[in-house]
Amino acid sequence: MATESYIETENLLRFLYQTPYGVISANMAGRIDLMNAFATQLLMPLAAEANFTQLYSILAIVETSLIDTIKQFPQDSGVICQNERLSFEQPDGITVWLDVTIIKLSADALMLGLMDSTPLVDRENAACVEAEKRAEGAARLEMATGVIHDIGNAITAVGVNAAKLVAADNWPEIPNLRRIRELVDHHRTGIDSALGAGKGQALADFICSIEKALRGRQQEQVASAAAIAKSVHHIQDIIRIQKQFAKDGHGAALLPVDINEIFHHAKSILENLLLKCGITLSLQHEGGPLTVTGDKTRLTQVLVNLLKNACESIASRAETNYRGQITVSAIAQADAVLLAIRDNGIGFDEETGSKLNAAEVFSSKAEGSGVGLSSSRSVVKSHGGRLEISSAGSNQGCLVELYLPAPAGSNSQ
Amino acid sequence: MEFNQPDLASELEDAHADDLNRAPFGVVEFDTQGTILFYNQYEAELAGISSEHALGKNFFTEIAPCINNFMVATRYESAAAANQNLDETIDYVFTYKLKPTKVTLRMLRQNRQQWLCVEKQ
Repeated sequence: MATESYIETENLLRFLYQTPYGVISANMAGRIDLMNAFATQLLMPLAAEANFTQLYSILAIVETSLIDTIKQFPQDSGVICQNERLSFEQPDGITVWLDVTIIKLSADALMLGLMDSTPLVDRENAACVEAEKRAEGAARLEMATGVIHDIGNAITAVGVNAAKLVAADNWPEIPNLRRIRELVDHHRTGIDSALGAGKGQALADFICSIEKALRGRQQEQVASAAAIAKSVHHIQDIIRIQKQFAKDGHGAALLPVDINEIFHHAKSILENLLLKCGITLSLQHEGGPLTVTGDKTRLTQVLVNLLKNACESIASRAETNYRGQITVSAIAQADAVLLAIRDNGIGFDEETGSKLNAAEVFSSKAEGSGVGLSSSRSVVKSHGGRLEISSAGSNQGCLVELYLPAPAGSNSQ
Repeated sequence: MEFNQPDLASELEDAHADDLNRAPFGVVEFDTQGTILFYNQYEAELAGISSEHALGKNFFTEIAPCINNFMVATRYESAAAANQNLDETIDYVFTYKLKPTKVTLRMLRQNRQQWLCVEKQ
């Protein structure tokens, strides 16, 4: 039967074995007389090089200067160092960090306390990396805000000039020609007698045809200027939203928006690209407005991004004179609208598809930056919707399904 | 039973508790979770921890935290994860009753049974 003192000793040993703080007792010559289990656990990786009965042999590997600090400590007792952070590399390459406290207990007695500060250092390092990332992000944001501001100023000038082209009567040749024609009409008899019969009428008709041609060209230019003004307005909307984002991370308020309007706006922005690539773009849905809740400009941006991706995918087909087709189907659901964008471009394999949906990669194109899909997904997510992308395989085209929340009861199914 | 005999794991597998308690070195058997299944007399006397107290405790966190590192505990974890046998011998320092004591450890795993044998140098 165990005696009371045996039980006391066993309890004390158990307490010391389990203490999660390393403790070493040594004399001033460095001879270790007591060492607990945690100290062994921490220092054991040094066993190949150090003598575990000699403190200075261990310190010589970890931090040589501590040996002098201990030996030169002038008083008979006191704190030699407190939570001094030291490190050493284990044979497996992992760096161990220790916070070491050394207390001189008497003229010939030392007590060492060792705390494993590796998790603490890891957390501090992670916090530093995070802080650096944030600073980098803030710097990028500042730069982007500056760029947006400059583009905003430049585009405003373009907008003003486009508006002038639309509004100004800057074709004085037309009224001048009209006046000449009226003059010729007035003196037709005199011209006929001077130049020959019918010449007055012929001259008037000729001037009239020039006037008509000029008026036609004026109308074309005004229409182009109006289209430029519309695009400038859209760019200004985008800039306004991006500025708002940079400022407080939120976009404009979400309001009911008609899908037809978004589609036609996106189509007009991409008109030149569609024409250049020979792609037919059509919207399929059964009559009437189809409303979703969103920010019109940002949703237009999303559709522009997705349609551009579809155009690039079609342009990547190897066939010459390939007839590209993009169909956008809008389908009303219980509380959402499904926009299905189908193209007959290069598509992608199953593996790329799962990566695209898991957002591991953002582009199926080798040269694609993926910014379009990535930013589209985040815009759709911020609207409470979702975006799924799929393909039946290589050269089988691609289907992007965009689910956007709709105001309750707004769309009949 | 000798610390250095090549088929020590097989001998430990078949040995009775009395044989293990008579061994001239420490023998601790524990499962893959580290729970002590056997703690022989020799080890109990050196550590100052009774066998009754040690049984059922976690070897690496409650009885011998000095081996809860990549040199010992991680070796068993890796062998168990790969379902492989283990027979490795290393020099080590135990703090028997807080005295740093040079020992040789033989880490054994065979047929999913695990032992740590400890010999004083």
